[in-house]
Amino acid sequence: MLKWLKKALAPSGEETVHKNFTAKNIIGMLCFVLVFCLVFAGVEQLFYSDSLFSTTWNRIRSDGDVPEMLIMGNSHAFCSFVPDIINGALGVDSAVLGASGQNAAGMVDSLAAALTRGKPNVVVVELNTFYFDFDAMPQYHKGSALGNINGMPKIINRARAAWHEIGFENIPQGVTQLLRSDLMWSRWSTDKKPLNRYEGNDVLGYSFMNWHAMGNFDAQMLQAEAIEFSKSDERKSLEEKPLNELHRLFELANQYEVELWFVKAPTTSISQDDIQRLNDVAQIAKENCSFVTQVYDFRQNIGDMGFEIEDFYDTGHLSRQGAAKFTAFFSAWAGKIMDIKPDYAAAFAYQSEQIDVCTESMYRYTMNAYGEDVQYRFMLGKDGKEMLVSDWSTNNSVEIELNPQEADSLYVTMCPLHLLDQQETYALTLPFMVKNTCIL
Amino acid sequence: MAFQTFSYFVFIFVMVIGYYALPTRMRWVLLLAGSYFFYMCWNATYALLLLFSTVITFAASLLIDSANRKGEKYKKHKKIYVALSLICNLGILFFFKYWNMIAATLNDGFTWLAIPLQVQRTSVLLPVGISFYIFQALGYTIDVYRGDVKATRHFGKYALFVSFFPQLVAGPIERSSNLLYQFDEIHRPNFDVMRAGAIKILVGLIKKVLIADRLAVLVDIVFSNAEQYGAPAYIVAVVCFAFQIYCDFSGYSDIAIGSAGLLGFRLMQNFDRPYFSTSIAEFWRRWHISLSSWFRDYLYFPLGGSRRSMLRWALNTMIVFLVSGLWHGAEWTFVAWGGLNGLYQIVGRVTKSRRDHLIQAVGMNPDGRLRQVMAMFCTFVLTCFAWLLFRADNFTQLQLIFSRLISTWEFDSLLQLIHLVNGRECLLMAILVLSLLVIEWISQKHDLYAKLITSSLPLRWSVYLALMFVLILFGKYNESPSFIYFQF
Repeated sequence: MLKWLKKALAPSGEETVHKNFTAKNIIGMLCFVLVFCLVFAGVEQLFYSDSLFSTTWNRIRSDGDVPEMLIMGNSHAFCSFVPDIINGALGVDSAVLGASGQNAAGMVDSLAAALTRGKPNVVVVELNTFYFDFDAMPQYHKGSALGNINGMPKIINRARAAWHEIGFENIPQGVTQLLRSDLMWSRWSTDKKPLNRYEGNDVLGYSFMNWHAMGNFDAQMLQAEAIEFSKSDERKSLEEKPLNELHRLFELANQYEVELWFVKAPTTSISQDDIQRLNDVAQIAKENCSFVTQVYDFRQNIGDMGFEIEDFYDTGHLSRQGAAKFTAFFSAWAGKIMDIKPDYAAAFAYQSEQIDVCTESMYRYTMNAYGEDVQYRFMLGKDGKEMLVSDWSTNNSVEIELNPQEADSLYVTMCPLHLLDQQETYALTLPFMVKNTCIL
Repeated sequence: MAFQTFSYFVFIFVMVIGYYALPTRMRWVLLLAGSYFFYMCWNATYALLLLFSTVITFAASLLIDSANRKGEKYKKHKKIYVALSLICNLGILFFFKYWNMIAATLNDGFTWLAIPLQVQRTSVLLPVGISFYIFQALGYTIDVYRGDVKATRHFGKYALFVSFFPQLVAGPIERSSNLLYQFDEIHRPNFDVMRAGAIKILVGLIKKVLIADRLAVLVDIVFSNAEQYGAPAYIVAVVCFAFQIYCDFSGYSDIAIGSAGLLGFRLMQNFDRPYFSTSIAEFWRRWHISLSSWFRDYLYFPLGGSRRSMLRWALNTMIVFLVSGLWHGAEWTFVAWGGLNGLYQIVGRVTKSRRDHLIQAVGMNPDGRLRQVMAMFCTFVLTCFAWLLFRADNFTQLQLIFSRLISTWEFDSLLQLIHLVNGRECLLMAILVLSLLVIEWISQKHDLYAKLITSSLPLRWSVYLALMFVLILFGKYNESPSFIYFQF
C-alpha cells in the first residue's frame, strides 16, 4: 500500500507552464481591484435605480421584506393558513403565496420568482397542488379554454363551458371580481355557518373559483362522518407533469438551500387515489431531496383541533374559523420544530397596520405595495351591492368613510399592469383585513 | 454549484490557490477531491455512479491493454472487455436517462394494441452530467482498445480525468490524449495563462448571464403558451432560442475552458462561431465540436464513414445524427431533431453539385461575399427550423407550432409579446445579439484577445471594467439557475 502511495504521489512530467508571476503582477491585480471598487461606488451612486432591480447589487441594497416562512400551494393553502396567527403565535413573519386553482407548475414558478427576492427560513408546501392532472384541470394561468373538471356532474361542466362562451369579459369587471371575492371570502365570516349570499343560484352565477362551492352549498349537507382521517400506505404514481414540477421544486430547494415542509391541510374527505399520491410525494421527497425535512398530514389531527362541520367551507376548504383553528394548531406544531414556544395571546388580534385615521370619520386604507407594476382596484361590497371606490391605478391607498370594524367589506383587487387585459385570470382579490402577500 | 454563483467563485479561488501552493505531486489529489466535492454539491449519491463508471472503464482499459501486449491471440478477450465496459456504462445511461421514455412509449403502444400490460416508470432524478462523463470514459476505453493510447496505471489521475470539475457536468468531452496526460505536467503560476483564463470566464458569464438568460424569458413565454402566438412571434422566439442555446452552451464551455486555464490546463475548443457556417456540414464542425468529433471518431468511422457507397454513407450519417439526437434528450422530439439534421447533411451532399451549377448559372461568384452571406443565412434558417424540434416539449406542441406558423400570420401577438417581456428588454436583447454577431464576425479575421492584451493599460482596464459592469448591472441572476445542457 505504501509502495502504491509513493508511486501515486511520485512527481512526473515536464514543466509545460512556466512561472511568470511577479510582484508586479500582484500589485497590478490589487490596483485593478481598487480601481474596480472605486468605479463601482461611483456607478452605484450615479446610476442606482429601481429599473436595474434585477441586478445582484440592487437586490442586496433593497429593503425587500423576506418572510421567514413562505406558504405555497393552491386554494387549500390560501384558505387554510392565516399569516397573522403564525406571526402572533410564533413571532415568525410568514406569507401565503398561494393562488386558487394554481397547479404545481404555477406554484414552482411563483416560488422561483419569490426566491429571487430573498431566502426564507422555510417554505411550507401544501401538497394539494401536486394532485392535479394538468390535462384534466382547467389551466387558469395559461389562458387556455376551460376543460372539464373530473368528478363534476356533466351538467355543471356544460354550464361552465356555456358561461365561458358567454364570456367573462361581457360582465362588468367589478361584478365578476366581487362574485369571486365574495364567495371566496364568505368563508371568512365570523358566523358559524358559512355565508352564502347566492343561495338558490345555479352555477351560471359563479366565476371559475366557485367550483369550490359545488353549487348551492350548505354546510349542513356535509356528512359528519365524512370528517375522518383515512390512511393508506400504498403509493400511486404522480402524473408526469406534477412529478416533473416536484423535481423542479427539489432543484430550487437545493439551489437556494431552503428547507421544505410538505403538509396536507385538513379536508373533510379525500380520495384513496389522492392519499396514495400523497404517499408517493412523501417517498419521492425522502429519496431525492434532503431539504424536505417535514412531511405531515394534518388531516389526522382533525379531532385534536376540535373541528366541527362549520369549520369547513366545503370538502376541500376551511372556513375562516377553521383556518384560524388549523393555523393555531399548525403554529404549535411548527413551534416544536423551530423550538419556539407559541404565544397565543396575540394570535387572534387582527390589528391592521394599514389603517390610518385621517379625520374623525375618514380612514385611509393602505394595501401592502407589491411592486411597481402592480395595479390596485378598491371595491366596497355590502348587502349584496358593490361600489367602485378606486379604479385600476398604482395607488394602493384609498380614503373613505368606512369604519375599521367593517374593513372586510373593502375588497382590493391586484393585477400586474402587463396582465391587466387578462385580469380575470391573473387578478387576485382580497378583503382588506387579512395580511397576505401574493406574487403573480 | 452552478458556474454563475458566488459559491463557485469561492470554490475556484480556493482550488487555484491550493493548486499552486501544493507540491506538484499532491496537486492531483486536491483536484480530484475538489472535483468530487463539486459534483456532490449537485447530488452526493450520484457521485457513486461517477465512481462506478470510473472503476469499470479503468479496469476494462487495464485488461485491454494487457491483452494488447499479449498479442493477437487475446484479440477476442479485448473485445469482451470493451463490450463489457460499453454495456455497463451505456446500461447506466439507459436506465437513468432513457428508461422512462422507453416505458412511456411501450405503454402507449400497449394501450393502442389493447394489451393489458404496463411498464413501470421510475422516479429517479437524472444525474447531472451523466451523458458527458460516460462518453468521456468510454472514449478512453475505445482509444485503449484501438491502441491509440496506452492505458494509464494511475487510478487517481484517471479518476480525475473522468471527473475534472470544469468540464464534468456539461463538457467539453475531452479526449484522453489531450487531457489525461496534462495531469502529469507541471504547471507554474503564469500571469498570462491565468489572465487568459479569467477573461475567458468573464466572456462566458456575459454570454450566459447577460444574453442567454435574458433571451430565455421571451422564449419560455412563447413556448409555454404555444396556442397564443402567431407565426411572427414564433419566428422571433426561435431566433432567440438559437442564440439562447448558443450563448448558454458556449458560455458554459468558455467558463469551463477558462477555469481549467486558471490551473494551467488546456481544454479543447467546443464552439467556433457556428452561426457563420455556410453549410450544415460546416455547422456541425463548429457546433459542440467535442461531441460531434466524438461521434465521428467512435461511431461514424467504425460504421465506415464516407468510404462506402452513397446509400451506406447516407445510412451511417442518419444513424449518427439519430443517436446524437437521442443523446441530447430522452424525448422523441430530440430524435426527430437529430434525424432532421441528418437529412440536411444527406440532401446537402446530394444536391451540392447542382447548387454549384446553379450559382454559376446565375453568374454569382462562388467565393464571393454575397454567396457567402446567402449561404450563412440559409444555414441559419435551416438550423432555426431544426431548433423548433429541439425546443418543443412534444409532438403535439410541435404540430400546433407548425400549424400556427403556416396559418397565423398576425403581428398582434408579437406586439403583445414585446409588451409582456417589456420593450426595453427586447431592445436590449437585440443590441446584445447584434453585438455578439459583430464581435464574432470581427474575430474571424482579427485576434481580438491578442489586440486587447497588447494594448495600453488604460484601454485594457477600461475594457475589463466595462465588461464587468455590463455583467453586474444587466445580468439576469438566479432567474434561470442552470445551463440548458445540464439536462443532457
